[in-house]
Amino acid sequence: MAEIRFDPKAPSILVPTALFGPKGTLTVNMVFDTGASFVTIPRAVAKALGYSLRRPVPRVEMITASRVERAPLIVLDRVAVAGEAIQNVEALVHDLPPQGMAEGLLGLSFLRHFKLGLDFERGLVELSRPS
Amino acid sequence: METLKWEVVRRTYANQWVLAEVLAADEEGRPKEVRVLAHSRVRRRIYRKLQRLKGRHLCLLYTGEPPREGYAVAFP
Repeated sequence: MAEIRFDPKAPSILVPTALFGPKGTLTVNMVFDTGASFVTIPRAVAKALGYSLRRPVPRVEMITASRVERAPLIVLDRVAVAGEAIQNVEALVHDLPPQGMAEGLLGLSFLRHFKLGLDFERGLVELSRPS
Repeated sequence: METLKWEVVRRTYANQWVLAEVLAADEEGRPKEVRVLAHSRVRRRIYRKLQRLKGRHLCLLYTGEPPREGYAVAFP
């Protein structure tokens, strides 16, 4: 089981996440977001990791608070949090507002591989593999 | 470029975006020792330097604390 500390009083739960692509590995802070269908990363990060966003990359409809947008869907080679790694993780490419302190969202395309625990008293995210 | 502990980087480049090569990380994946490649208060300036990845393990992290009052986050 992996444990990741977070600040329970912060406006969102930030998790250091390693993103692996054809060109290398980038560790960024991601928002732990069980409400997001997919891992979501900004365009600049996707390109730096070595993913082309030119068609025929598939686009999916993405429902946001105010509208429906189409966003490229890529498959990241690997995503790892505190040593727990998942291969071939689907990720939407979409820029979050620049005011945020995170690079993206750690959504269900990664999280659904785990049993999750959130302990606000101790400020701990727990990830464990289902038995 | 010298190797620095992340805590030193946080103090040296406070409230900035830092792009650095990760030389050692803790068990949670947080960088412990890095080599700083770029830093800026403006994130998009760091994005321009991300192409330095080229087979390495880099990190792109903000060294400040998120504001707690008058600040909310929603990603529906």
